[in-house]
Amino acid sequence: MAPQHRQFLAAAFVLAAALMPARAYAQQNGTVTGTVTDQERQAPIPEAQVVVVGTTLGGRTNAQGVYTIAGVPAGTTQVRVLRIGFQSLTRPVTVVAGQSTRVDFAVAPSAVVLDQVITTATGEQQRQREKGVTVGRIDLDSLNKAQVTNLSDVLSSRTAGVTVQTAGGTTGSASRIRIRGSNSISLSNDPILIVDGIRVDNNSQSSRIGVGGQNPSRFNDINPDDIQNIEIVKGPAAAALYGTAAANGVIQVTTKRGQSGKTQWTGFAEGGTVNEVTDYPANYEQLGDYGGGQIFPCPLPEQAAGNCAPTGALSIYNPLEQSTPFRMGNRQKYGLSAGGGADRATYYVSGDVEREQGVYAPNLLERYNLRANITGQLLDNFKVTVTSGYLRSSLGRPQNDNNSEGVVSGGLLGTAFYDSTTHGYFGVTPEDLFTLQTQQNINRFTNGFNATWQVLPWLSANGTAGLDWTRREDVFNVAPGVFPASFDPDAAVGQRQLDPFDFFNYTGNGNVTATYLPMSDVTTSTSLGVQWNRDYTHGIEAFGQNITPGIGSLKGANALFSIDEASQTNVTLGGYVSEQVAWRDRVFATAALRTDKNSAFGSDFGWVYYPAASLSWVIGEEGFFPQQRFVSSLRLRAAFGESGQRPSFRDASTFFGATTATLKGDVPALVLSGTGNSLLKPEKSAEFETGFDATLFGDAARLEFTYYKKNTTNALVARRLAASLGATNSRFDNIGKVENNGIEMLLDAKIYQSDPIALDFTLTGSTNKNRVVSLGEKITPIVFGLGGNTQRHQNGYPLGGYWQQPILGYADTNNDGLLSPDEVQIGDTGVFLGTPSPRREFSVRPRLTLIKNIELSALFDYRSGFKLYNATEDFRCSVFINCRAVNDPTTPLKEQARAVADYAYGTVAGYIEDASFTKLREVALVFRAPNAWANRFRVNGLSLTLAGRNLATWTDYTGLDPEVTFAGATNFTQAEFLSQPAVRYYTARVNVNF
Amino acid sequence: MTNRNNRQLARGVMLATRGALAVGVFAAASACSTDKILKVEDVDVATPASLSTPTALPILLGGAVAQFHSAYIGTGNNNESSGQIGYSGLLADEFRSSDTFPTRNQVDQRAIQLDNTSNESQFIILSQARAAAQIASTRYKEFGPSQPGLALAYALDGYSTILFGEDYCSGVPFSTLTDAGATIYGQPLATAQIFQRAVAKFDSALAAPGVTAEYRNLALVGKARAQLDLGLFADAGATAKQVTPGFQFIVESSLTTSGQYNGVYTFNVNVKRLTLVDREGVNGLDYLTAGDPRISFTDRRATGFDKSTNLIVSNKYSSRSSPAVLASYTEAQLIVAESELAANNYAGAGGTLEILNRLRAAATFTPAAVLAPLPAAVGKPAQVDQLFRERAFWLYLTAHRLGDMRRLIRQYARTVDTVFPTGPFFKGNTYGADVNFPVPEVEKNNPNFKGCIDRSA
Repeated sequence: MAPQHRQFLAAAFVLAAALMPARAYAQQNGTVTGTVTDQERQAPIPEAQVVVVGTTLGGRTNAQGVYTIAGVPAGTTQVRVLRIGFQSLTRPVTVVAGQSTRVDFAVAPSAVVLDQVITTATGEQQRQREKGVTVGRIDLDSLNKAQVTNLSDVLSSRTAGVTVQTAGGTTGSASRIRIRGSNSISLSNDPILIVDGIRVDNNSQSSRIGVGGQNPSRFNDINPDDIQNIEIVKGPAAAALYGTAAANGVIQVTTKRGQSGKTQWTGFAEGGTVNEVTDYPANYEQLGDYGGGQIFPCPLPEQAAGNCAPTGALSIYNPLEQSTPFRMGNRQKYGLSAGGGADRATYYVSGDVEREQGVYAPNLLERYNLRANITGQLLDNFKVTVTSGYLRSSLGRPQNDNNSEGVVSGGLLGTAFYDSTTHGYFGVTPEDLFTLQTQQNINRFTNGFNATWQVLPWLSANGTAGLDWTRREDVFNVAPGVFPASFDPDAAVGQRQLDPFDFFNYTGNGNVTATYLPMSDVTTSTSLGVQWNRDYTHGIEAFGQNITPGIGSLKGANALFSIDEASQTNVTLGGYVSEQVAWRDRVFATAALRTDKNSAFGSDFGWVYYPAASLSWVIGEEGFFPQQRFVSSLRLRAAFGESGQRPSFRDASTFFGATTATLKGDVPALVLSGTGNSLLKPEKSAEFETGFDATLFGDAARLEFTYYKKNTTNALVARRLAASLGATNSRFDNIGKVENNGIEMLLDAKIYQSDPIALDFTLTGSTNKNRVVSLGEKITPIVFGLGGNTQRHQNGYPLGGYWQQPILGYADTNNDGLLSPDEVQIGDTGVFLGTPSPRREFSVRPRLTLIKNIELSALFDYRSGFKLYNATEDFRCSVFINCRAVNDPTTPLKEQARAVADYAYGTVAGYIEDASFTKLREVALVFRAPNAWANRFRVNGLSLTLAGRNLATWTDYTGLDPEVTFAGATNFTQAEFLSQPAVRYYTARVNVNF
Repeated sequence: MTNRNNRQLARGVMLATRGALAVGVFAAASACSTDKILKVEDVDVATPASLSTPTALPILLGGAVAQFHSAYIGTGNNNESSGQIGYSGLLADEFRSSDTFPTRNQVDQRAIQLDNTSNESQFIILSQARAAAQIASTRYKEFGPSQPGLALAYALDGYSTILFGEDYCSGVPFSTLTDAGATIYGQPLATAQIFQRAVAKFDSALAAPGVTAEYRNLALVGKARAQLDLGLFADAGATAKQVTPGFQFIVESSLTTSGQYNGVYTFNVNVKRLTLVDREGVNGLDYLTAGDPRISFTDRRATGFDKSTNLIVSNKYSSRSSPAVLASYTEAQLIVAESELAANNYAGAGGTLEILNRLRAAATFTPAAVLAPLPAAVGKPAQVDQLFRERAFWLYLTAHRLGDMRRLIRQYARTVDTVFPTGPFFKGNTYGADVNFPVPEVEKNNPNFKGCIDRSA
């Protein structure tokens, strides 16, 4: 036996021996059982959590409101019931060994969320009051799903500090998700996603085949209709125990579970339309005489300079409007689920079918979801839960954005007149472009197994194991003879690319939690745990050209064969310890430490440590706190924590990659492909947050306020290597520092409550100030962005800020109505023009309820304090010379100035515009059938929802949409560049419960 | 036992168990071999350590050849890979931009901004070619000093260096990344120093024990070219005279991988971002209207990528697998001809005119064509014009023209306005003042580099 195995067994023996005495102690127990009911409606409350105070013992109520807790130590103790939307209630009970003791609860509705239960990193459940941080929570039951099309929509504008940017309007494309700003200069700023305790793939750029910018996101594979709730752990202060991955926050999804009792069926049918509603600009062209009868396009700057004189009329044509490629899309979704079970076993099974046809013919998404979640109480003190989800989807992806073969680009870069061959598009018609078929097929299994063992009344153990496996197949196919050879001779002879990839995400967690009451009003809780994650990716890329007609696979390829294979692995091993002390159930102090090691760390780096501490004080329950109506409850909280982010695969390695050279024929070759850093360590983000939660005017309003300050150190900076080294472009160093700070608030208020009418609203707001503190010594600003130099990471400024030579002024000095280059003044050097990320975001969700059966709600979203590069118009004006500003002499001078600035001086400053906007994102009208109506159909519940999404935008931004970006969900690159703006949805949905 | 005793017992058990748990968990954690758990395999790449063997030599030489191919004639890999042939031809008078990328339009316009990303990419690719050749030569010296690959590695290093000298400003540094990952930053070299470095590399190639006749000729042409760039006409002529008749070294392309594609074909024919041009900006040569069989082209009667510039494609690179000549006996003879001109032997026996006409007489073409003998030019300026025109047509699209145009200014006292394209630029505005490429801003991460020493020719 290897020494390390012997050591492991020895350690396991110590652990087992430690538990042995506890078995004897476990004999003197009883059972507590009872019901939980709504005090107002006298109705049972299902899914309420009932816990024995000072222990890890607990249970949940079934559909009839009944709970049972076995193994409760004999003697006097306290039992507490917790349920969101209701007051917490604690009652004493005397448990007799070997007997069942009954304790019933009648709890009152409440807006106070201090006793709302949230899931911690250890898998344990805690009340909100026990945590010194704020955790966002979205309960999907309360969301009208007709107004959301995917999980990104669910997150959008519902939680303070969470920014979801709709990158484009193509069905199936990703959104950019940021929580409390961006921490990392070089690594992903996406939060991690955990589903039922299992780390899962949420790659927001999940494709190997580009279509111009937008990519699918694995985040949106998660079916909103299967979700019970979402918890958003916003930053390192709360995420320290999640370790080297969680610096950008954690999104925890809990899928639905069955409740014991009669099987509850839920079905829904949804249908609607997908509508293109953007007003696209026309193409312009003015011909002119350059002398000697030479007639060429004669743009305004050339006219102003006297180089040409316009001849004939100004040509205007709008291909996207007059030869439109768009169609009205449609959306359907159908689902059926069943949940139920007995006291010792519950189940939830569901199946969904979704089909969304986007506004382009090839943009079709089809998805099939299956889910089965089973929970079994195998012993009184041993419970297992198996969660299993399956997804199959196919997505047709249209060419767009930064793509000469894109549809929107084809129209906006096309001609100013109708042409029978191209219909005014850039080279080929949309119908031709639709023959370029890009498809993504997904098969995905997400399976988890969780076991909870109540070893002793004060000691519980929890283990989770899971695998998220995604089989992704990207396909590009163009049949021979269908695409015009004049535009792309390679596509004309037929091409096919096939990239099958497998992604495996393994999770293994184990922890033990012990509680202890050293004094009557003090409770302590200690958790120890280990965590292991392994991500493995393997795939093949294959390409061939000159496809044999009639053959639809690579077998038909006859030229330019290409094949490649790629694999990568990343493993994280971590351990943690957490200690919480609660005093009088009002003051909670927690200290924790996590340590990690990761396979991507440099070979010369060891373990990393992340400490955390928090304090929560429910001051409103103190005797000295004045009992009055204005502030009816108050909690103060503060927390500090650190978390990290690992480098990517091979970032720490210097390596040579294989290629082929030609030297008297093909020969194998190796070239330097990676310049690594053996000292590489994780980025570390430390966060301090503080704030309060208050209930105002009785239960009429709830206010949460949080201030946070987050510093990322050891940020990976791709230190640009001197070009003359002849190495790779850059090498990572842990030298950067980034700072984020801001405030968050949530106000949930009931404006008017009476029997027939109720009006309430929820306001969430946040600010974020992001700044590069330092890129590191001797690091010049990192310049990037569309065009190569429009954005920068520069010390003292926000990440990815826009920089250009500014337009200092302009004046039509000769009063000819045109601006010539010498009438526009440009600054000598690039200056900071603004940040691409919103600094302020507020959303308002008003809700009007009429006669309890009709509910009208809306979601307004306001974002400001940011800029967007309107590269669409810039490119049209400076390169294709087909925009109004360089052709139409009636164009306002301001627009002419920015066009001349780029045309003559190469600065795009005039196109970097304020992109502040207000959007009416959602409106929903819900009609819930009265019970009598439902009974007539022999169902328990029946509702109809009419909803709209992306209904209006108010902005001064002059481009197509102030929110879209051609680069999809990439880290920082941001510009509106020939992108499909957000589309409008109108949907109707019927929900039935029976 | 009383309740009090029970509670005390329970408390004791709890405390003991918690302590044991803590000890146990940490003992288990420390007992496990974390290195084994965290070990990951990476089968797709090779580590530097694995290449310190004799068997790795041909693979590393292959790497040097592959990198030089990218730098010289480009690849089919991405949009930045027309190589120095396409890139220098765009700044000179061989190519015109039919592109929409501002970064390449700036090159054609001779108005290259310092943060031009295309310029940065080309510089890095050429540096990678030089570095790969250096890695190969270093390993050959250690593990196979008598193998012919050593001479080729040195020669490729020399040609990369020549391209830096001919195409870039004065002040190019040559830095080294060691196997251990340490950086040795080079000092900026003036243009003359760059060519001296090239000469030294070719001398090393010639001195390599296993040098073959082919690699010797390759090194001789390269050395003569560098000497010509230095204005050492007599030395250049003497070196070039040693080149064997009929010699030609080609940089091969292949359809096997996109990295082996001919990038000039890709840019000119396939993606249509470059087009041939005639008499560009007043001073450009009449490549397309001269009726010279050395310039074979096809007017596609279509527009390039920008949908506005007429597309004319070169038949010299007519497919993805078309090779490009790097060095030849013809070039050696042109160097000899120039050395004779410098020695004032234009029309005498073995003089410039005789050499040029001998090359013309020996030329064969498909379809058949004849190059008529050149008439004697009168006066030195006309003789220089004639020689450089012959060089431009013989060495068309082989990354020589930009260096020659700069030499006309540097060595023959021509002014920029009489050599480079000038006047209105066909995409708007006017031509700028650039006669070479700047070293990109990213080089400022080299603490020795502050900027080009001199942007003049």
